[in-house]
Amino acid sequence: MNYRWLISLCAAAALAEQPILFPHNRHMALGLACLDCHSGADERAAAGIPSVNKCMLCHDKLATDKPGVKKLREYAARKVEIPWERVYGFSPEALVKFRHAPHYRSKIDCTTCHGDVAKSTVAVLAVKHNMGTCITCHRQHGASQDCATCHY
Amino acid sequence: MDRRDFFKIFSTASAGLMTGACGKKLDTYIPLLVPDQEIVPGAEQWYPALCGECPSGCGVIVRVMESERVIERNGEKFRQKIAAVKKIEGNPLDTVSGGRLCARGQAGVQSLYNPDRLRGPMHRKGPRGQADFIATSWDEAIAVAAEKLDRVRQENPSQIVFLTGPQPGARALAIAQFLDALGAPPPACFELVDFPLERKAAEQVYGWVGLPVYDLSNARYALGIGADFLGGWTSPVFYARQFGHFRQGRSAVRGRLVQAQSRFSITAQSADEWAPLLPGSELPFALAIGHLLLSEKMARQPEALPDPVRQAFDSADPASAARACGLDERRLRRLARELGESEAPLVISGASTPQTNSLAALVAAAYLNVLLGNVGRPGGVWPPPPGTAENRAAFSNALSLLERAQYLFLDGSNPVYTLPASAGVAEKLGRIPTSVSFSPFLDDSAAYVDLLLPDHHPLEGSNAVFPMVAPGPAVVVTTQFVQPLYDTRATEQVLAAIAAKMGLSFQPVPARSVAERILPEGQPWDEVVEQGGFWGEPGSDSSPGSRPARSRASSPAASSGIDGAPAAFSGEAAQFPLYFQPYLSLQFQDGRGANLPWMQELPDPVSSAMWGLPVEIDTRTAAALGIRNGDLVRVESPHGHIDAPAYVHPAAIPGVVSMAIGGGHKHYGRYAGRGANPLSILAPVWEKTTGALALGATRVRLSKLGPERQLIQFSANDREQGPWGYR
Amino acid sequence: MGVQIMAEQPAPTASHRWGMAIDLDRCTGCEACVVACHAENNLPVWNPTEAARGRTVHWIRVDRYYEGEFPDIKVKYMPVLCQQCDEAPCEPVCPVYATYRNPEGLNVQVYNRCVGTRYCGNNCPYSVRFFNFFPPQWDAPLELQHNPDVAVRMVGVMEKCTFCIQRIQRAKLDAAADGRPLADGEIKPACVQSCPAEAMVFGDLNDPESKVSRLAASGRATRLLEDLGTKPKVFYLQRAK
Repeated sequence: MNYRWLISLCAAAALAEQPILFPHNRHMALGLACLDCHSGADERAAAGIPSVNKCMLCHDKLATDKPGVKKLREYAARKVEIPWERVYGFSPEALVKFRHAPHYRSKIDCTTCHGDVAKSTVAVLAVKHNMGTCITCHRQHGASQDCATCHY
Repeated sequence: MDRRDFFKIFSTASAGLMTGACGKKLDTYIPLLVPDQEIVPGAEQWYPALCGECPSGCGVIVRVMESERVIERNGEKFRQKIAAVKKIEGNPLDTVSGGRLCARGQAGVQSLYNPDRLRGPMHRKGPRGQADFIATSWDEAIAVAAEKLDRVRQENPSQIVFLTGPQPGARALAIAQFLDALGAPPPACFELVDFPLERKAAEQVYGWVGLPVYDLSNARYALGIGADFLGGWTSPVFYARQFGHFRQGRSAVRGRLVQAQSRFSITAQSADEWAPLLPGSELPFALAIGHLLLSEKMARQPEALPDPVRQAFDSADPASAARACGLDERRLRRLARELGESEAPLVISGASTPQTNSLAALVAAAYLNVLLGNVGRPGGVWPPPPGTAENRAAFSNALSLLERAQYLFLDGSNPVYTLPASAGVAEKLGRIPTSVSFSPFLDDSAAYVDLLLPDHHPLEGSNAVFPMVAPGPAVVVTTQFVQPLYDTRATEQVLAAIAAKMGLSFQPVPARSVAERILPEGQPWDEVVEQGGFWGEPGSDSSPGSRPARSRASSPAASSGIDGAPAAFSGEAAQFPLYFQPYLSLQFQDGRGANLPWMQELPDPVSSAMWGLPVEIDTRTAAALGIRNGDLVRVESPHGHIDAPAYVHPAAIPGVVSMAIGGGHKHYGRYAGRGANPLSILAPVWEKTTGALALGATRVRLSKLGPERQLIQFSANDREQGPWGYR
Repeated sequence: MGVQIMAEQPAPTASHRWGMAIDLDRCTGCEACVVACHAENNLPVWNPTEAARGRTVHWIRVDRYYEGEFPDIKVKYMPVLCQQCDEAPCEPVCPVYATYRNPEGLNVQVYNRCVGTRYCGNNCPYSVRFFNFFPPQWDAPLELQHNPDVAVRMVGVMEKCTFCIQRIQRAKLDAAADGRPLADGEIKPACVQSCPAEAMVFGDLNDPESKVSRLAASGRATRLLEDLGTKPKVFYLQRAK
């Protein structure tokens, strides 16, 4: 019933192949911030991965010659979402109700848990998440360590 | 959890592209479609809607969040993000529900997502009643329906019969206008939940068309006669709210409720006192109370009684009435005195178990309110809300209609289930040349039709509905907020398509113009849509359509007094010594809730029984027959028998056997079907003025079949020794 | 990757102590609360066979007790749910500390820790704890109705009423986001919200002005099986005369 060890192991494997080699570095150099695409992080539980429609807002006209953009436009034309491989997350069996919003409001930088994405292309599992890291941070900052804060 | 599920969470890789680090091949990737509308993951939206679980017309709000399902398109599987309904709550702006909701209303989500919902139109393949249907297309179904209808219309349009539910609103109007365009008779309603006797009595006594509204929350002493208004009657949420306030909502006053009923119903349990009446004795009871109010000078407005009615009260004899009811005469006198001396007395009368003399009983009870001078006063009885009189199908005993019908439409009506087998409904349906059902489910009656043209679920559709009971002008307006789950169509649209095929001009009246009949001048429509309806203050009626309709009849029945004939029962007392009272159950009402798993597992309020309802037998009869809790018994009437587990009910009146309605569906999905249908064995006895089924007019006998121990009870203190020895 | 120091933390809110008052003079035994709880908390539905074995799960139920004999018969009925006892008999017997009382007085059941000894269920005098004998299963598409804010419990864990902790957490987060304290009556567990007779009140027992505190102090307030010393936080207001 306890597959926590599998989370880190297999998530590490899952970083291998994304359908499109999305360059975070290039987009952030152009001025995009985390919240522009992962827009749930400030107010909601899930930060979210943007729909292909959001990418097309720019790439309808921009950089259409690039191979990655070509693949993107194919997905958009077929009205199918890009099948991104999830890199950060918890399995349902962990029964964790993680919410981005209170962490954002506590002014924890995205890089704390997700690594320096501005230097990467595709996202990589740069920070290991397990209950130990969560509790350590909560302990250090006086956040609640009550089980019921996250598990219910 | 096995590793396969685990990987589904982490990767959505294309087929064949990835093997997991643990060496297993991943499932075929199912692509996710781009949603048509923006649905923010994890964010909830609330939309106003209409509860579809009973005809009362409570406004609700519905919590909608993103969910995912797998659909097939051109042979390819896709994942689709949809807006899914998560929870239903009462609409806080609604004066009927007040932000609250009853058990069945909460279970509405299980009706919407029921696995046995019809996926699309179907036509019959096998013989009638076998529920053997195959899928067809809408074009095909409508073409067939229209072609056959056109033939009947040209030969004899009076033989087109449309059975529908009692709810007033845009849907009912559309149906009426459709039939009008055909030259066919107006739609008929033949449902238990129409409460035709209560309507008739209100018309005869108060001159109102519709159900009276009882202002219980402002009363101080309430006498309930025959109406289980807290359990399941005209508006369960409304009256429960009223009751809560009646009891503890006022600082200096605590309301006192006395319930006179032939069963220890939910209302009787909640009351301060239960006066157990023998079945059919509501009439002598009401007459005696009226007699005592008059003779002891406690009537506030004795002059308001028409002479023949006054005579009926004057000639009543409390002593013999008490004997007829099975009550002590002193108790009867005390109740009358308490009622008469109260500062704010109210009589709530209804026929939860209709008898042949129920109309007279209701008329007599209604006149008690006239005597007490509380008509139209706070704490008294009020006229029905506007809009509920004219925008609906009238009640009629449809048996003769079914006999002659050449074409039948069924909408919100399941007569094969809700009428006794002795009425021969199944046979009649089998003989009608063409029949169509709009129900989203394949129920007992739909099993006999030729075409299934499933409607959207009420939570998927648009409508404007007038609640049956409301403290002022009220209309619930609902506009579609989730995509229909299946290939269903709004019945109004189907009727329009059929009419178009026949070259007739018919357009369903838009919800807005129906709602506007009771809206005050200048009420902005956007506000109405946003709130999910309009609910006005009592007495506020600036639009002409917002005044309650008055009966055009000059109450001829009132001038002929109150027919004092006792209730008639079918079956010789020697052969069938027990009274039988089927009743609308809390979980299933008239059986319509039986396909909801939450309702099947809801412990019955009387016996805590689940997955099958028992026959409730009083302790003396049970002892005489050697029947213990859980024994399988046979209930036999002159018209058939049913077998069901027994529940020895500590509060049942000796000689009176009751049974909740809801079991014994022959068709209605995988969750329904257990248990027995008490309506099936009733005698075809009808109340003579309205034609309503006299639910309580059948006598029965009991016999023990064996200790089958089929009663599944939830409560530990109910179970003696279950089949597993569980204590 | 270093952990960055937080710039500012929100001020800790005053500690709450959640309690409930149920007015039996208003309650009609209609069981709306029972179904509302099912809908809100993803309760499993089994089948007739398991129901006959006493395995049905109802986090809140309506208990009925008859008194007297016909015709002088009365019935006492009351909704019974986890009493969130201050001295909970279920807590000390769990070998893996899967159930404990949290700082806000809630008796928390941590599904992750539970290994299914069922000792807690055995010890509870109110019989409000339920065990998942089977993996949960819903005939499609009933699972579309699941509340994503609440865990779907796996086989082998105990479960019980949580006072709709998901609603409590949500309200606290919303209040923190708005920078305001919680209002009395702002949090309504599913049962409280649905009750047509408005018989149930939920709130903070640490706030003497809250409705629940005032009702708990009223002359009609009693608690179930008080003499066992469980110190329940659900107050039943007896039916008045």
